[in-house]
Amino acid sequence: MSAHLSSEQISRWTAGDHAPEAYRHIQECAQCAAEVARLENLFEEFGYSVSRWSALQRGADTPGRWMRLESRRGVYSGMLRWKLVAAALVIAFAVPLWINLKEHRSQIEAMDMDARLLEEVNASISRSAPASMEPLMQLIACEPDAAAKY
Amino acid sequence: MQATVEDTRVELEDFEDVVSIHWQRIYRFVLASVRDTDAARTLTQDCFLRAHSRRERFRGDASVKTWLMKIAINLVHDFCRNRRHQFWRRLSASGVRTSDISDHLPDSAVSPEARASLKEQLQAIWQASRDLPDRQRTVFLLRFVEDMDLLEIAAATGMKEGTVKTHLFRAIHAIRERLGGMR
Repeated sequence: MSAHLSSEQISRWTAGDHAPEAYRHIQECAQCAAEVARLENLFEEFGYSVSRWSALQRGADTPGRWMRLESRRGVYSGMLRWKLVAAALVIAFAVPLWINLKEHRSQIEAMDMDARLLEEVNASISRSAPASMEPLMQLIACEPDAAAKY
Repeated sequence: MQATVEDTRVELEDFEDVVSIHWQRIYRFVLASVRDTDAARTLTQDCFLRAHSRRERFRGDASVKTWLMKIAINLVHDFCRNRRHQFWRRLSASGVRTSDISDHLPDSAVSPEARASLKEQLQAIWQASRDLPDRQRTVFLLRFVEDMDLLEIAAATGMKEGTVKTHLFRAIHAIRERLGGMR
């Protein structure tokens, strides 16, 4: 029988690299077989300990209703999309409406001013006697229709 | 083979079941890799969200378990490459005490001395595995924590079986060197 397996050969064996000569040696050498078994057992214990420890950590439990939450998140994002579309539509309709309203108001104001001016003119020309020191030419109508009226 | 692919597709249709079956396994691997409970939970959620969004593209040439593990491995590697993670990792060990895992020994009937020795060795393996290069640590955890065989590891990591063996050998050798004369 050859000398014992080197540390590297034992590591290779544990890694799954089962060379025929290492296999033959382990079959015959109780010491190397025990070392390989000890190492494999130690790593098995390690895996077991990590599993138990991990299962007790915060976050190890499967989140309840995971997909329902996801789908709800999807619904919420869909609702948000619709809200944004609605807001855009409101803005698209409201802005021209507001501009129209503003123009309409200024037109009414202009018409009011015109009406007031006309009333003043009417009042001025419908007086029967001139005011004192009023220039005479202002009282004479220029248009023929207007002259006929007086 | 066709039946297997169909089975896998059917399995993916009820994604809530997929989450409940595989959550603990994915979380365990991610936590053992990043050693931060908050980051592990976030990365596990990301893993399932990514799987959910890509489930139509899943070809079924590997099991759902392997496919999910592949996504988790990529997320862990991205996370570990992140500079911010490196900074926090250097600053503190992000919340997980090294003695934590050795507090959960199997309930085997061994003497208190043997138990103390085992605890010490498990702590040493836990610390040594943290310091391994990313790929070696991934392969080591998949083999001994997730109990995956070399072919499954190759499928999950996208490496060839021989490469997996090499990374595993290096990881085991480095850990044995850290263990030194511990018996």
